[in-house]
Amino acid sequence: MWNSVWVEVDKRVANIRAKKFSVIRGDSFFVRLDKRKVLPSSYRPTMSTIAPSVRLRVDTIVLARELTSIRSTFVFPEQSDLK
Amino acid sequence: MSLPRVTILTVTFNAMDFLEVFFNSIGTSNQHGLDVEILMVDNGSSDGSVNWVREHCRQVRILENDENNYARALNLGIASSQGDYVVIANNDATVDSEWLQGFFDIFRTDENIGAVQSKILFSENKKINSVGVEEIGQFYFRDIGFEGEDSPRYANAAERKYVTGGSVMFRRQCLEDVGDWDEDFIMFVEDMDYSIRCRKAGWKLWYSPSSILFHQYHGSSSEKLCDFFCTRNRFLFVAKHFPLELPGCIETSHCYEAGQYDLLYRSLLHSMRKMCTYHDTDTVTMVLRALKECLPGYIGACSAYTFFSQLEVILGLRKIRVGIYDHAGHFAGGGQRYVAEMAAILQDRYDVTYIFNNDVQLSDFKDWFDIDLTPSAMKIIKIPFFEERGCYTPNESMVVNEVENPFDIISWESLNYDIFINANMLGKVNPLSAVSLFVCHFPDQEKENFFQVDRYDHLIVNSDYTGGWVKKRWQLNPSDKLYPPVNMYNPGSRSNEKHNIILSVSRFEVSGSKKQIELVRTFSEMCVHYPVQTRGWKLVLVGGSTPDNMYLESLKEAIAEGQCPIELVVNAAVSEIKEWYRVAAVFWHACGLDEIQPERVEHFGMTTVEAMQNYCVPVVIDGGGQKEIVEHEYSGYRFSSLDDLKIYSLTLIGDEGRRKTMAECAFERSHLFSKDVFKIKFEKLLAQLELELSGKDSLPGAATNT
Repeated sequence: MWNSVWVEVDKRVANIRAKKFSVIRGDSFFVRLDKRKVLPSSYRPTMSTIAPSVRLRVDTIVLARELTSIRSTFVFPEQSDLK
Repeated sequence: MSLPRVTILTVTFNAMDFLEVFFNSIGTSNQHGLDVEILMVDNGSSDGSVNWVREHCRQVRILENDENNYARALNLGIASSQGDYVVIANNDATVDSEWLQGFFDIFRTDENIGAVQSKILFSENKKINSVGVEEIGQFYFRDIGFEGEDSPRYANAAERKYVTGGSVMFRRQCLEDVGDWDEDFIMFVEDMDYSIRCRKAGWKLWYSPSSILFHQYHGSSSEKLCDFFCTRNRFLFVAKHFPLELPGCIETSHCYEAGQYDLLYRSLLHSMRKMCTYHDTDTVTMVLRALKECLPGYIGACSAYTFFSQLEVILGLRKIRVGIYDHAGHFAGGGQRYVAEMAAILQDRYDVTYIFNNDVQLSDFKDWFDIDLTPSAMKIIKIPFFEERGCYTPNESMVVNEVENPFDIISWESLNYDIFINANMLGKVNPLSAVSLFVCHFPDQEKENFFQVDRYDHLIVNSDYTGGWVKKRWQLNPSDKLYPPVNMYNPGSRSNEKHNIILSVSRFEVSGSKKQIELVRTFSEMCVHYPVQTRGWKLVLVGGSTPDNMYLESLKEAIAEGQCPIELVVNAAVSEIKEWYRVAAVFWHACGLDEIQPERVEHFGMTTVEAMQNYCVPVVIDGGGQKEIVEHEYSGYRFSSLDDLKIYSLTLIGDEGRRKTMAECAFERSHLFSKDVFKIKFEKLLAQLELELSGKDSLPGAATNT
């Protein structure tokens, strides 16, 4: 089963597909890269974020833009919002 | 012609009280013309029921599920079943003699019938439990006929929109067409989901009055559990099958009506993730925009904002953001080191931002602790309240009668992160991130105005000693204990290559809390009263000091008075301290001696561990965190009085063999507090945090039958 996850390669963050090999619980897991991908020798195998365990049907780029846009519309004028 | 094969599938969880009667009733039922297989999937019972069935019900095949998930158990069972027909049945029940035959009365009438539900009666009073399921509006469901008398109106077979999983037979072809049961439901409402999927796939659902099962309603599940899952799964159901209706379901949800906003929040997160796997971008976008309009009104603007932010993480749209706040980040203290070690681990995985109130450079951490934090970002946020008063370091005890909390500016900042870590015990910051951690090295402040520590998801303490005082002063239970990481190993240290040196490493506190003068006097007395034993031994006091330290002057006078071999080493470089650890045979630590105030007792005691990592036998105060480090008479000694300190030290001085043995034990013990162990434990905590960020529920118990 392949999942889409964020990994850091040479300080650059890229969304690539990876295969889980060590499930901790739920959807969080460490990843091993698909060896078919050619990566620079300085590749650092770091795990970053929670990838959905099932394939999304939505366009993630559009959705990311939408969520960013929604968050940008929030205003917190009242101190009571903190409560 | 071969007989139709039927698999009877039942899922169990601590069902010992029911199974004998249940399986007996199946055994005596009419199975004429059928080849019956019985399959039990156990969800991790601890009541011995699995063994009991194995011994007493040889005809039952047992599968063991690795988690208590009812829908998953069904999938396991169905995948393993051989039947042309599969009956799913609750086991807190008995079956009527014609139970199995009654299903076929209906199946025989139409090949397009995919599933047939029994007439389910309450075993206690024979009233109706269910003769099918119907929606009663707003995506709430009820059993048809529930608690009514078993009257002629239920005597006829009928088509249904929904059937309950309490007693239902599926045609194999239907199960294969529809596919797996949705394991996200875990339990409850999973049968409604399956029903609608059957119908979407073109299969009919029917009720058979001639198949009867007698059921103990909620025989093995609590009302609390039922409420939880029914509430949560209603949202999942709507997200999956009627996505545009989701925002409208909030106001009519039980959790909203009951003020269970956390359950509402998590249910919506699950639902949106579910929606993204079943529906297209336009649909999801419409729902998100509708939620933007209504959600702040339901759960508050901050929580709504966090919801959309957390959704980005759950959907894997961006990296996790971590904010670490240290109002005293300009000090090179143990607390700063502790959190910097955390940050070093965090920055390898997440986007980390350090938040300070003062001008600090992350490169300072490299100089102070040899920790490279340059991959992290940094923000400096001045707090006007303290700026106006000329306070360089924010002191929360100055905030007493203010109407508004000066630390709200930090709270607003915390909203920008998925995980917010309050690193240095500042208790007046309200965390607004999805997940929050409060790191406590000691609860210095009493609970007072604007106390916010109870709002954090995790309260981490550095020792049981600190944890005990957190409970006492704040009436809070720490969620995690994480000993500070200590890394003073020196490959050159050996237990059999020690000099006759007693070492103390502590700051020369102006208050005298580290008790160096007491140590000097004790050593002087030892030299006077035991000149033969102490010949060739010296006491070395190493520590940092501020300029013009009056205590240091007093200490020098005490040393001069004693006229003993005592060496004072002030503000030594790390390399020099390492060398003292390497050569010293015995380590003294007395912070906390005769103290009444708990904050003046060592909360942990990193230098003791540093000594132990270098085969230096600790003789330390029997108090505070030292009790957790040194095992008395095994990996060192713990003293309650200066007389005891003398006795234990003389024992070690006079018995080299014991000293070496204890040094080895101390060295072994020190690994428990090493940087590696810290990393392992912290990573375990991170796994938990990621789980929380994923919106996973903490379930109120678990069960199977409903």
